[in-house]
Amino acid sequence: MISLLLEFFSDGFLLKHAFRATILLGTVAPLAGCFLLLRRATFLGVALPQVSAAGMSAGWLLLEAGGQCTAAAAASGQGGAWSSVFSLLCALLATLCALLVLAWLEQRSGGAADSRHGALYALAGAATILLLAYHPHAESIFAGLLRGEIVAAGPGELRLVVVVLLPAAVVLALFRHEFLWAGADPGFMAAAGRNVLLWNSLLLGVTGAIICAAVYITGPLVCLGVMLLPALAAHGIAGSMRTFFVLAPLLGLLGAMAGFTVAYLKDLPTGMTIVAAHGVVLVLTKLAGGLLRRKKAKRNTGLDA
Amino acid sequence: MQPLAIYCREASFGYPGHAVLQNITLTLPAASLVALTGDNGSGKSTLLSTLSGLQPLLSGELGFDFGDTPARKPRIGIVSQRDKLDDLYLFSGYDVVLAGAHFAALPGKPVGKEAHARVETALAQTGAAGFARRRFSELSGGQRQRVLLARALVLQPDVLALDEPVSGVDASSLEHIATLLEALHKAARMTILLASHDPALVARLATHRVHLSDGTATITTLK
Repeated sequence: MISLLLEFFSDGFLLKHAFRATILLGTVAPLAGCFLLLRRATFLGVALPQVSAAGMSAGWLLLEAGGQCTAAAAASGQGGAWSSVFSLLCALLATLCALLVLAWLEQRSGGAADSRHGALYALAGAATILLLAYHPHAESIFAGLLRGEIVAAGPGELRLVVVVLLPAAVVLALFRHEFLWAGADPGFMAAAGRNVLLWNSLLLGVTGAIICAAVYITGPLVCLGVMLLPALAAHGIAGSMRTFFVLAPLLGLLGAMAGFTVAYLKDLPTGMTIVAAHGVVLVLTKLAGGLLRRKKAKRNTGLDA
Repeated sequence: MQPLAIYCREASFGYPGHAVLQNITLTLPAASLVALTGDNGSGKSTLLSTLSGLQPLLSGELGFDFGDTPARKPRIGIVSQRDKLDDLYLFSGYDVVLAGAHFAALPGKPVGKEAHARVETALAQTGAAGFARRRFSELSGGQRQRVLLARALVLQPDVLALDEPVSGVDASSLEHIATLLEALHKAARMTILLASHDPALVARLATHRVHLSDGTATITTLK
């Protein structure tokens, strides 16, 4: 196992870019998942990757219409650096527009956020399919997007992901207290003189950027899995906010590396194997969490007696 | 700390399209302990949250008088109703109080030893030091209230605003909170706003009462 890991980390490894992107995504995406989980906005975590995918589809078609490259080449990362940046920007733009509309609707009509997120998911899913409906290679593009084949990531994709994910991780870590309390007790934060709207907007912007980068290299389904499953697993066993925010990226890294290894050894689809590995980690942490709680209850009963 | 007077002139409080209190003109003196009383829905929480800057004034004027010191944005320590923190947040009582220190510092700046010392002092003041390391969601109503009060104190507020701080709390917490508010008002000369349904608490603590009824406010000096 050690020699396999050393091979993955070596410069000569054929899939080194995919492996590095997997590690980075597995570590950073759960941080965004933590905030979505705490704010009970997991449905937003489902809808936004789909919006991002729709934006990316629009970007591919625009590239083709502009004669830059075919949508299929852009979708498979063969369209050059410009097409990669352009499709990522389209995904980001679509995500930010969706967030702005959601914020406006929230301000205007309050309540029923879940139904708005559900509607957004349905509309974005339909838009992704409709945008590519008349494209000759639509089926293969959809399949690639849904399978989340991270092994296709090359140096350009890795560079883009690094440029987005590392600053996002720094912002989330640096301002975690502001992001936490803007969700937990906005009243206290506002009374203390902090601009809650500003901090919520920054968090949504950073989350949107992480989602776009994740969708760009793995597709919407894997993005959702790597973002939410480790956060859910960490929440089940963490005893404090600090351990929650340390455990989530660690479990994300563990699941991503385990999934990548199994996919490599058994020649399985990488993205889905990573999600499955996160699922196994989640089940194990649930079992561990149950045991810990039982032990704690027994200890408390002993103390009471 | 310079005690702060609060005044409003022909002010209307409420939500866009629905004024709960209209044309209110009153002055809450510096270093006073003002009880906001009235039936449910009379506008106590609306008045408190507008004074705390949480919702905008519909019309009129609302201001703070800093006396001899230069005017600035006042720092309001608000003690909300204790069940407002979602149980999904794995905060300990200490984490909750430390939030007050985070907001007293620059965003993103780690809090230093001095802030931790302030947290310990506030926890000791409110009698919450013994259970502060436990998960906030596992604390009793009275214990949560003491933690939230400690958080507001760590912020070193100009005004302390409390929304029903003793409703449903145990006798020991009630006594602790009442004694602490008395001390803060008398020794620290802090301006305190207290929305309460408890006549005994109002009679014991308040120097002034603002009674809200039918969209109007009447201020009475009690002490």
